[in-house]
Amino acid sequence: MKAIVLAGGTGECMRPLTEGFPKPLLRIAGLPLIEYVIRGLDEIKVSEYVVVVSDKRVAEYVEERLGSRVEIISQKRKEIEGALVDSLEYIGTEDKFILAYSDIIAPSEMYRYLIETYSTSGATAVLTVVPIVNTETYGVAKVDFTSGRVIDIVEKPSPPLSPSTLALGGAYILPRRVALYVKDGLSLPEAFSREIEAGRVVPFMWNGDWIDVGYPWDILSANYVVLNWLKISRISTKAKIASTAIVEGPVIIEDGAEIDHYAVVKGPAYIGPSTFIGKSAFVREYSSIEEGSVIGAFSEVKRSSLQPHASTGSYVLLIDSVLGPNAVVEPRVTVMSRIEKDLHIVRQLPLQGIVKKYRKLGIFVAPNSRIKASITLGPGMFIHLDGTISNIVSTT
Amino acid sequence: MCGIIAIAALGSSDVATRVKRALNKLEYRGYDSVGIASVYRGKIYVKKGKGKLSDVDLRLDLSSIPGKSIIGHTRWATHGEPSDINAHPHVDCKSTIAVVHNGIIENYLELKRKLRDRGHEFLSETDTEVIAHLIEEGIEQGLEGLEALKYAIRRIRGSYAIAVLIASEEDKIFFARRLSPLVVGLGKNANYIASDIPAFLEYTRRIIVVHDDEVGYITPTKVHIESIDGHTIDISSRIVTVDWTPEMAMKGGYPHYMLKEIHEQPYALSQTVRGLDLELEKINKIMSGAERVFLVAAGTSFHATLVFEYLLAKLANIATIPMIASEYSKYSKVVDKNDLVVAVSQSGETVDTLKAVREFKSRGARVIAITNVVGSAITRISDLILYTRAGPEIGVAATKTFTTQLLVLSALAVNIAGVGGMLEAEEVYERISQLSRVADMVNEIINRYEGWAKRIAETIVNKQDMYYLGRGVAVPVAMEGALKMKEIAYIHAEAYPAGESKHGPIALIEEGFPVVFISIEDDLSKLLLGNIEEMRARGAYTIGIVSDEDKDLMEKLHEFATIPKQPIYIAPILYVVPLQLMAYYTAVKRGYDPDKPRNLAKTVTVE
Repeated sequence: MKAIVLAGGTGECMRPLTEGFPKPLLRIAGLPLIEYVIRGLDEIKVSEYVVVVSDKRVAEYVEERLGSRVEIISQKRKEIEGALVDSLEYIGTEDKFILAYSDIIAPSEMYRYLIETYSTSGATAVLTVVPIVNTETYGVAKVDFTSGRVIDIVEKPSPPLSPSTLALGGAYILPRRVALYVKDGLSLPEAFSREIEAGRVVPFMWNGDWIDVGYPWDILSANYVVLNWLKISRISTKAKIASTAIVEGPVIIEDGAEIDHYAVVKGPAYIGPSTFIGKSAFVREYSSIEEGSVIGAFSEVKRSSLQPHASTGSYVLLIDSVLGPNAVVEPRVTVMSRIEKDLHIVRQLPLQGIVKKYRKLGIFVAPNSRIKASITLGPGMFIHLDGTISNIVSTT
Repeated sequence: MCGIIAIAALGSSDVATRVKRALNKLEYRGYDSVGIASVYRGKIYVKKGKGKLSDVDLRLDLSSIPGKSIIGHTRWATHGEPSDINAHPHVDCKSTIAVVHNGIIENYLELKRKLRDRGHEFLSETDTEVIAHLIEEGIEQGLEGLEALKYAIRRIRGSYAIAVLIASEEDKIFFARRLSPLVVGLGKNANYIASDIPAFLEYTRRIIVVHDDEVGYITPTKVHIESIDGHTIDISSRIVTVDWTPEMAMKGGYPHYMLKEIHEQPYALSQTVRGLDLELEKINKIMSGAERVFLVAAGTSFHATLVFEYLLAKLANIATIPMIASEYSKYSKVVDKNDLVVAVSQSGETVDTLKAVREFKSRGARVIAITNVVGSAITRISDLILYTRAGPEIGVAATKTFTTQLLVLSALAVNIAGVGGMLEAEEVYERISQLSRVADMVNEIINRYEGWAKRIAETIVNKQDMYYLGRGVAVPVAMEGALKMKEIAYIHAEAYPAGESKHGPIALIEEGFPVVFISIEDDLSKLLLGNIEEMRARGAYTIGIVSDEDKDLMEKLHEFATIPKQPIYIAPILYVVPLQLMAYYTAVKRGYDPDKPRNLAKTVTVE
C-alpha cells in the first residue's frame, strides 16, 4: 500500500517556532517530527511514500531519508484538502491508500494496529481515533459500538457540546474515492462523512501515547511522551562528561556532547550531539537539548526544548519553554511559567500535579531570534523573529 | 458468541487434526460444547458433545472422522442449554446437510413451527437447526447447494456466520455471513473459513474478510464469494496478506478484552432486552405469598442485588434482605417455604452462591436465578431463570455482565411492582419499553466520556487510596466503581454512603486525596453537596458523576461527568460506565494488564 504523508503547510498555529522554519523538522528528543511517522510507516512496510511538502528543507530531508522509495510533491493547493488533491495522481491506480500526518507523535505499533484493524475488519476505511478531553482543536468521530462503525464526524466541537471524545488521530486507511470526493470540493471531514454513507468506516481505537503537535507547547508534551519511552540510558563514548558532573538516568547523551564540571543532568532527558552543558548547569527532567545547542554556566533548564544550535548564556532560568533553532537567550534571563488558573489554553499540558494543580507555560522563541540579557519573561509568551513579544492569551 | 472453523483440503493432509487445532484457538469464543462434521463418500459424519474440547476429544476421538471437508464449532449457549444434542453441527432430517453457526436467529421459533408443520423433525432446542432444515427444503426444490443456502438465509432474521456441508457436493464447504465475523483463508491445496484469523494462521497468511450479506463456498483449490443478490465478488482485489501476528484479532481490534467488553455494552444490553422473557405469570405465581425476599450474590453481582434492593423498596414497597453469598449461614435457620430467594451469578457456578441457594432451597424457599450462562449449575436448582445475554466475558473484571444484570433486575423490579399493584399495567409496559433505549444511552456515554476517563486516570495514577461516595441508589454504584479500581488498578478504593464520612472515614482525607461522588437522585443531591464541601475543605480532589441538571454540584467539583437525568431503574446502568472506563485507564496507565488481575479468577468455584 502507498502512504501519503502530509508535511506541507505554513504551521500557522505553531508560530513563532515556525517563523522561517518548517514544522516537520522541529526536533523531538533528537529526531525531526516527521521521522516519527516515517518510522511507524516503515514498520508496516509501505511500498511507496508520497510526501507533500511546502519547504525545500523538508524535501531534502525526506529525499535523503527515503531515497528511491519516495515521491516528493511540492504542495500547490491550500490546506490538507489541497495536499490530498495534489497527490492524487501519485496514488495511481491503487484502490486504497494510507493517509498519515507528519505531526503525530505515537509509537510505531499504532500504525501496525491500524493495518491490522483494516485487514481484519473488512472495512472500506479505517480511521484512527484517540480518546482526548479538549475536543475544540480536533475533529472527532462518533462511534456506534453496536455495529462497530463510525457514524458521524464533527469538526472541532466545543467540549460541552461534543458528541464524542474520540479525536481523529491523523492516520487513516482510505479508499481512493475519498480523495476523489475531496477533489470534487468536499473538505476531508465531509469526505469522511460521505464515505460513512457509501462504505463501511470503522474506528481503530488507539489508546496508547499520542500527541498531535499543533501548538508550540505540544513540543513539550511530545518530549514528555517520547522521553518516557526511555527505559535505559545510552551515553556515547564520544561524549565528554566531566568527572564532577552528575548524570542521573535515563538519559541519551550523543556523540560530541560535553558536560562540564559540576553540571547535573536529571533524566529522562536528551542531550544531543555536539552540545555543551556549562559548568554547574542543571538540566532537569523532560528536557531535550538538541544538536549543537549550548547551556551556559549556572543555568537551569527544566521541561524545555532547545532546538538545534539554540543557546542560553549563564545564569538563565528556562522552564516549560521551547527555543527555536539558532535562538539565543542572553545571560541572566529568567522565565516564569505559572499561568493564571482561569486562562484558557487549548490542549492539555503535561505534568500538572494534583496536590499542587498549577498549569505552566514558559516562553516560545522564534528561530534565529535573540532575547536580551537580564530580563524576566513569561508566563506564556511568544518571542518573535522581529523581537516583538506577544502573550499567549491574545493568540489563542 | 461461538467459534466456527471449516477446512477443505486435498491430498493426505490430516484435516481433522487441523480443525482440532483451530478449535483450540477458538475456545475463547465459547467452551461449553464442541463438535465437528465431515462429508465422505456422499455421507455426513458428525461427532459432537458437551464439554471442553479436550474432554470431548477424549470421549469421541475427533481426529478419527473421515473426509477432507470438515467443519467445526465451539459453542457458547444462547438457545438451548449445553448438551450433546444441542452441540453443533446440526443436521437436517435425512442427515445430508450439516451446519455450524455463530449468531442468533431471531425468528427461529416461527420458522421451527412452520417447518414442523411441513413435516420436519427437530432434535435440538437450538435456533441453528432451522438453517439445516431450510437448506434441506431448498435442495428438495431442486436447488444446488449455494442456491439452497441462499434460499435459507433469505428466510432467517438475525445474525449469523455459518459454514455448511452438503453430502451431494463433497468438495465444497458453503458459508454465509451477517453481523457475525467470518474470514476466509487461502492455502495451498486447502482453503479455510473461520470466525477469526488466528484460527488458521499457522496454515496460511492470505485472507479475505467476508462482508455482511455475502455467501459463497470454498473447495480445496477455489474460493467463490457473491453477494446475496447474486453479484459475484472479484476476490483477487480483496485478498490481504497478513505478515504480522494479529495480536488484537481475538480481541476484536482492542488492546484488552476489558475495553472491548466495556464497548460491547450497548450490544449486550440490546441483546438482553430482546431476550427478556419475563414470564409475567410465573413471576406472579412465584411472588404470591412470598413473605420475605432474600437476595444472594457475591462480588459485582452483589452490587447488582443492592441496586435491586433499592428498586424494590422504592418501586414496589417491598423490603428485602440482601446478603453476601458466603455469609448465607446466618440465615440458614431463618429461611422457610414462604420465602423467595433471588440469586445473581454471572457464571452460574459461583460456589458460595450455589451453596446458599441449595441450603435455602432445601428449606423450601423458591428461587429466581439471574445468570449469563445457559445451562449452568444455578439454572438446574432454580424455579425461574432470567438470562443476561451479554455473551462470554473474558476480562476478569465484570463490566457488560454487570450492566446487563442491572437491566434484568430493573425489569424484574418493575414487573414485581406491577404484580404488587404499585404500578398500573401500562406503567409497567411503558417502563419496560424505556429499558430498550438504555443501549443507545450507554453508547452516547462511552463516546462522551472515553477521553474524560483517560484524563482522570492520568490525575489519579499515583494515588494509593480513594473514596467512592453516594447516597441512595448511588451507593451500590459507588461500590462497583471502587471494586473495579481495586481489582484492576490496585488502588485501595473504599465506597460507603456519603453520610458516613463524619463517623470516621473523613479522618483519612489529606491534600489531593481523590474522592469520587456519584449523584443520581435529585432529592439527595443537596445532602451530597454538603459532603463534597466537607471533603474539599480538607483538600480532597473531588471527581463527580452527576445528573446533567445538577449545576450546583458541578460548581463544587474539580472534575465531573454528567449523565442525562433518568429514573432510578435506568440511571445506575449509565452511571457505572464512566467508572468502568476510569478504572480501565488507570490500570493501563499504571502499567497493569486489566484482563489478568493478580490473585483473581473469573469465576470463584472454591470457598
